[in-house]
Amino acid sequence: MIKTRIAILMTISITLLVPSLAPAQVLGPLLPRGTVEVGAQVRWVHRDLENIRSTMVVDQYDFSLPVRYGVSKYATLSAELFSADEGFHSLERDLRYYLIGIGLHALLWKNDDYILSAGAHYTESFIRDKTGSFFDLTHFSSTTILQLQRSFRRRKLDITVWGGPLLFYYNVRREAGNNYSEVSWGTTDIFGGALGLNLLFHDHYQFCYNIIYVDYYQPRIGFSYRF
Amino acid sequence: MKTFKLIVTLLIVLALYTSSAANAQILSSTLKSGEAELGYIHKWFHRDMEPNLPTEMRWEVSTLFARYGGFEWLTLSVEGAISIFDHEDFPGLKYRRYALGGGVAAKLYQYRQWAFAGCFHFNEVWDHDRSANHFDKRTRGVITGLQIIRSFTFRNHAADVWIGPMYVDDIGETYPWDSNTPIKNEASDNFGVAMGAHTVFFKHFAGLFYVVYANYFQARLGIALHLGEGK
Repeated sequence: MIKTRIAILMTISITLLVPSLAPAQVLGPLLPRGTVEVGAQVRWVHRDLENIRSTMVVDQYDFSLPVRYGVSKYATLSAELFSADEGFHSLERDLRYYLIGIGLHALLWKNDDYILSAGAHYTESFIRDKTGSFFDLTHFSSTTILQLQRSFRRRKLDITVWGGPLLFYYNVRREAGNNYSEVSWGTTDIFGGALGLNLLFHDHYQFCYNIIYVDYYQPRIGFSYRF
Repeated sequence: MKTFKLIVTLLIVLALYTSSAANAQILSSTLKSGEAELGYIHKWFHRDMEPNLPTEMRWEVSTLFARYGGFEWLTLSVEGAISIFDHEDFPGLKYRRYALGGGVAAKLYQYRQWAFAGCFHFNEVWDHDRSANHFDKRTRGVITGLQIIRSFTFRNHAADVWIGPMYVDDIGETYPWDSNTPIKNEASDNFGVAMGAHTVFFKHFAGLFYVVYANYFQARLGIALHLGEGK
């Protein structure tokens, strides 16, 4: 028991001491009341953006440490945090990187087999980029989803399949350092869909995979510990 | 019960739509397994710094935070915020603040109403200046130490008071005029003490207050919704 506690403490301490984090929205099934999930997620973002004068393609991966909490059987609250030093992010030229996100998922209807819910999540990430072209970047994204989920239990494995239509808004603001100016790009297509699979082993260890389609297919993969 | 759930949901929705939040360390007594707190905290910092000017720094940070009793002996905490602010000490500058932090508290021993715990917490604040001056600022802090906790209960109310020695380190950086090389200062005399109180009224309304002494007295004040009955 003491060894287990030491192992858990060391894992948490190492996670806390890693001086880095990055952006993503936290999507997933509605959680039972009082349940907490703590984990890590990698996601790919691939979007077509434009403004009046030009276009931009965002094609990168992001990393975040999400936390989800079943506040009641009607609502699940989620948050994600991350900060990173130079070279962590997929752009590989940022000097500092910060990500903060928060979301809420609410139950709309349920029966013995299915759960229908709606969720919204907002994430903002800041990249201090002072190399080469001297541009700081701020990424704003929000997701709203209408989601149907179904769970199965096979021995000590809980399988949850979920999916539904979503709105995925993405905006990038670039700040030029020396000649101060700001330029923003926004999404043209925001309608899409998401499909996900969560595998919970032994009531505690969870593997999550989901894929979003808006502009392009954008997969996300993660793992978490459920308390 | 339905009214309470509605209030909780409304508070969360309000918090989501509030365009501000901020950064700090969350220290308090440990929670029971399955208990959670969602709240807001404001922290005042005051440290002697070296080797560069200014040698004395004051700053304040506000954040939304969550604490959770993962096990009977382990409490996890996270905090974060995005905010926009102007500061009278920096006229003409336009800041967007990113604040985040996390920590862990482990209950090492318990005897009746007394407990002995160890804690660790870090926080980081990035103040991005969007004005033409580009005077970005960054602070990082770590606090770790031991806590002796005494618990009290009275009808539907509960309170913990705690005190203990702490190691408190803070680093302040300024990036003048878009520079990549910061002017860096670190706090001196980092060994100190912290003491505080954590109260829960009517099982759901929590308040936490504590004071850290390292160079100077530095107060932290928070409120939270206390959820869960413990497992």
